Amino acid sequence: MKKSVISKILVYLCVIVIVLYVLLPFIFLVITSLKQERDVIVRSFTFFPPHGFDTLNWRYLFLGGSLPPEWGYQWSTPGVHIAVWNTIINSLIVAVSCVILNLVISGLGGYALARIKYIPGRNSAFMFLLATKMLPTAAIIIPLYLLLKQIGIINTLLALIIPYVAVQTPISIWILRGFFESLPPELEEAAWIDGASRMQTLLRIMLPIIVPGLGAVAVYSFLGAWGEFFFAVTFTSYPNTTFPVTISQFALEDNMVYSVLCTVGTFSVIPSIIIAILFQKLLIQGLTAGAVKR
Amino acid sequence: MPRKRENALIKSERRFGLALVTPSFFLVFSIIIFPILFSLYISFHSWNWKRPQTIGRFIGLTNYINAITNKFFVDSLRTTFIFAFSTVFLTFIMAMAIALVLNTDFRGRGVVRSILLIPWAIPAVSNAVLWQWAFDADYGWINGILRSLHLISEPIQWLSRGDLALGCVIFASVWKGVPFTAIVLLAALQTVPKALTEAARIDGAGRWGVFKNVTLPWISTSILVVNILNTVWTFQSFALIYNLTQGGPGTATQVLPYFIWIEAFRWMDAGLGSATAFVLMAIIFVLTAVYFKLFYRGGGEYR
Repeated sequence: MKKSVISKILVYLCVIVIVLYVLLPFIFLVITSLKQERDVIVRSFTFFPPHGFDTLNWRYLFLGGSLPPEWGYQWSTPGVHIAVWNTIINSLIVAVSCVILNLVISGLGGYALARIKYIPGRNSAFMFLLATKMLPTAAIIIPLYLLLKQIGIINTLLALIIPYVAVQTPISIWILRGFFESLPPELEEAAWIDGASRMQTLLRIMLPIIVPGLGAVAVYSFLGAWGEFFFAVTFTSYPNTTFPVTISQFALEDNMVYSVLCTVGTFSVIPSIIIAILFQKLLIQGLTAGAVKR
Repeated sequence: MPRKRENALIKSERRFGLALVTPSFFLVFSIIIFPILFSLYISFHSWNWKRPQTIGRFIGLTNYINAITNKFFVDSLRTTFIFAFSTVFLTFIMAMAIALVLNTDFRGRGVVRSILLIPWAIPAVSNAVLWQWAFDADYGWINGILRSLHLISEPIQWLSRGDLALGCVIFASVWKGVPFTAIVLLAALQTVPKALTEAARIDGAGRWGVFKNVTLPWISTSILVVNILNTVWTFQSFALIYNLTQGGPGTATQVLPYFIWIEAFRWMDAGLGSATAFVLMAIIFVLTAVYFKLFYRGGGEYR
């Protein structure tokens, strides 16, 4: 009896350590984003700043204005909110386009690779697709830059959308193929006998059942496109670039304002945190589907 | 069914199937496969954007030789290996410990799993900002707290000291990778049949014995897969290093993807960049093969 109580306490202690390990960096980031710069550039970290909490950094980033030098801000760029909003909207356009294209392309491909027996080399084609995930992006970035330049879409949002979808397609097909394979074949066959075409059964009968799979693909696709940096910084520049590149500019600026950087950082993780919490089950299903054999 | 009609049916099925897979394969071929082949072509040619008149001249293995004999390349190669192996190893050890804790029954397990997903879900650039702020020597919170606790009197130059910077980058990389790994391992642990571990306990095996002889073999495939994925990913790290240290101080944290990018897009030598990219690719392939050879025992069924 006593032993089990002790082991329970030990488990909870471990859990607290784990949670702190994950959340602590975020807590410091959020607190700093709500401080005035003069309370940030001090020699020790305070949880409760002497001059109180303030939303000035947030207003500066998203509504514009300037930062008062008497509050410790040595530097401010009036109108910075225009650049911030511009790239956030770009990021949303890119991410949503990726989700839609990815669902259509991988949905069709995943269905065919799962269900149509007569495609020559079906399994090896699928393995080949997956194997492309082993190729380092650093090996395609140079020729892809030349290719995008050649077809004239370098430094546009298309230069990001198309490569993102291409990079995400193999994993999406892998997830969706698994979902389609888990459905009993009788489901479709009954509808064919009633005279429905293949496309009709796919759209009306199959797709509604695998909504969790489509959801997982949509979430991965969105997170991937929202956070991607390597292609974005190489193929695009302001005003045609995405939010991660803006974050990077704040982070690498010579005249860095700490509280503003922490505000950008805090904002950039909000969508991911919301998605992680809302779609926990879906994401874990997808994450573990392939790595764990059941 | 008459043979002729059957054949026609198969034909129409095949046509339909090919139509459905065409968009995805077209995309992958034009955006991944074709560029890779083109990159191979570039790597054997002079391709310096600063010297446009020489672009396209065949120079054999010169780019590869230039890469391998480049001091910065050798440095980056060593840094990449230290960075990748430390990250993968530490990630695995910590994730295993976390997964074992979360595999016990306690209240609020769902919440903890949600929280664990967060570092995995955030953009790599955000991860860099998070740790740039943490490790900042003058005002960062790590030094701030150490100073408040009177553990240090002078600030530690986390990111600008050659011997510490790589450790900081590894720390940030591990922090982001642990949750994903832990979730995969936790899912694997949950497939271990209770009857099996209980039988081993009755036979007199201790906790460690059960873990080593029953649990580990059962989840070996998941361990292999997750370590391969982590290796492939860490060998590709770019955003974290670009934004946290820019490869510095000096070249202390310069990994191969960053080296490739700098060569191609700052020094404008696409030929050298491409050759280096193929070296990186070869390393990833060889490592994956080695992992399989060493650890793959088929299935993951109980032996």
